[in-house]
Amino acid sequence: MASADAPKKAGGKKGWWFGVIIGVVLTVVTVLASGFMIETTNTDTFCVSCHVMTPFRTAWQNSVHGGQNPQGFAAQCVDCHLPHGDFFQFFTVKAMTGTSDVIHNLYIDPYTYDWAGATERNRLKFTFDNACRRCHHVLVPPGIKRGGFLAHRAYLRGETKKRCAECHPHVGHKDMIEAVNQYFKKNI
Amino acid sequence: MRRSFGKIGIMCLALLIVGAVAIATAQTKYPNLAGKKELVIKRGFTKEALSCIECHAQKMPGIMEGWRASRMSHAGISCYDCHVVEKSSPMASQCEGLKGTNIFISPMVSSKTCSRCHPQEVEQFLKSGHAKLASKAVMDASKIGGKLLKLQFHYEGAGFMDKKAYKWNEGTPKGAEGIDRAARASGCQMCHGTTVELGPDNKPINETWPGGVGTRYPDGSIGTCTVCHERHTFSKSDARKPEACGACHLGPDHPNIEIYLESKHGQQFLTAGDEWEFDSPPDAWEPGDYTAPTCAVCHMSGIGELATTHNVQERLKWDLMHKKSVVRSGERGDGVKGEQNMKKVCANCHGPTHIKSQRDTLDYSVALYNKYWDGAVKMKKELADKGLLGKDPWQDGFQELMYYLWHHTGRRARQGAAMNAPDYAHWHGFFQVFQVYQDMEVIYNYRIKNKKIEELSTVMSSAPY
Repeated sequence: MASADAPKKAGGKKGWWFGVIIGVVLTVVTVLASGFMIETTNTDTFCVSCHVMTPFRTAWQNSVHGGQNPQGFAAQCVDCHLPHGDFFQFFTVKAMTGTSDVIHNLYIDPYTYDWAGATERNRLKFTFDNACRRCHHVLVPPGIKRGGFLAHRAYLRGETKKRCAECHPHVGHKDMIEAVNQYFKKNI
Repeated sequence: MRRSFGKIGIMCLALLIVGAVAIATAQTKYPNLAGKKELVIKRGFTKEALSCIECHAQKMPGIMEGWRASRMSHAGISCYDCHVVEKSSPMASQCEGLKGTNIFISPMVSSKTCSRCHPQEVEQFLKSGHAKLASKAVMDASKIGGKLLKLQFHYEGAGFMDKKAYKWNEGTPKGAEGIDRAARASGCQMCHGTTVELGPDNKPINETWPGGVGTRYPDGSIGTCTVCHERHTFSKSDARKPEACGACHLGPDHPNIEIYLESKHGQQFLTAGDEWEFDSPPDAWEPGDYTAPTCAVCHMSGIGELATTHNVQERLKWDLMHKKSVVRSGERGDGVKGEQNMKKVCANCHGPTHIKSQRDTLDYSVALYNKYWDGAVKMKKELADKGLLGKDPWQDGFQELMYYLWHHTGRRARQGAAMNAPDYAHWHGFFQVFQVYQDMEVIYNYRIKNKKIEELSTVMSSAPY
């Protein structure tokens, strides 16, 4: 079995290098995926480390979901902007959107970017019903308005394909586009 | 003598009093017999919502009376719930009462707003010809090469008199002033809807609002629910009555309300409709509440095994609106399924023999109309090939008649047959279809024989009716 021995010999040194690379990658992935890193990158403080996120945080802080409620509850960015189905889904979307954010941050010019248009186009890409439902368990609570009752009942029965953010598009950030325009000094 | 002076004095005094009263009455113009409307509500609404209600009850009591009597007020849905918009909305504006606050509203309320509470109804509606397709004709330059925009501005708007050079690749053509827009604003868009244009304060301008069922709003939403569920009563009963549909489906080009009223169904509505129940819950409005159907019963309402739908195409087989009638497909529905659905509607009151006879009559009537249309297309093609068609279709007898063939007489024949109105199927329909066709044949023969177009349009009447 000379043919089987030959690559073993030849790949001796290469095998080491391969091992090192795999090892480094695995370490990086393990660290990034570790509870510590996930916790660290799950905060608004981390999110605003990208300069462009600042007005979005300001608008969030002014909204019900940013703590403007009698109980002082606040949802974190990732509570709404990542899916909460299972850990695998959460983790992959987190990795993908995180990477996408970093890349976009490199080439988008926030002063000219069409934030308002992008908001309308991408709202459903960056909000997840199972995220809303992690806190909003009861969709027809006592005292709900009749209109909300009708719509939520249809939603629960699967009679409508509408998603949460289609009827509640502005609940996470108050006057977000104003905050963005003000921050990037757009006169619109 | 002294007594005479006394009499004169009394007469003068009496006249003086009468005169004074007359002048006083004359000065009090239009006495407000109703008094000032005041609506004070303390429960169920937010402070902001209440301030809308109270202010508008004084300023426009008619609208508030409508709302007060509606189901919306009972359900605690107020002005605020439907009219408030985000500050960043392209339609965000402020009325006098809101200046200085951080609340923004829009007078325009589209189907998107309604869908927040009525998602299924709006989803169905948006798939129907009542939404995007309805306004396509009025504002879409891509539809038959902008010919309909040309009709609105160049012809009906008298652009041809001033030789105005419009471009058809924009909504309202640049340079079109109020008088030029009048034909579209007063007519087309009232039923079809158009694209709403906004002024600097985000309020609609250029008479593009209010408009019809297919109105396209600045936030990208389409459709107006209040066309049938009229504001501000939003009554289900209103929409179930034929008058709601008849507001647009009438007249020489699609006399649907006239056809209905001539039919046995309409006859019963006219004679017994006052006693019918129109306010049953959705999907539970069934035979018994009425003894004959209105438009809504057959085309939309839940009946028997069929569920309520806001997609008016779901129970239709044929396209009876366009030049050649085909079984509906694609964005205009599924005609095969539509036929099955409509038969299920009929079966609630009729046996199979009656249903078959009625449906076969429609199919044969459609085939007959299509025979005329195919003949007309053949003649037109030959004339076009030989250069014997006028450039301006509205000054060319052959083309003008061909328009009336499908758009007026042909529709009346087909739709009269579909909904059992013999007078429309016949006298306003096929009786005129054959005459229009034969007149076209005469013009065709003349042009082929003499190898030229006649000098004057042979069509002098406004339309066969």
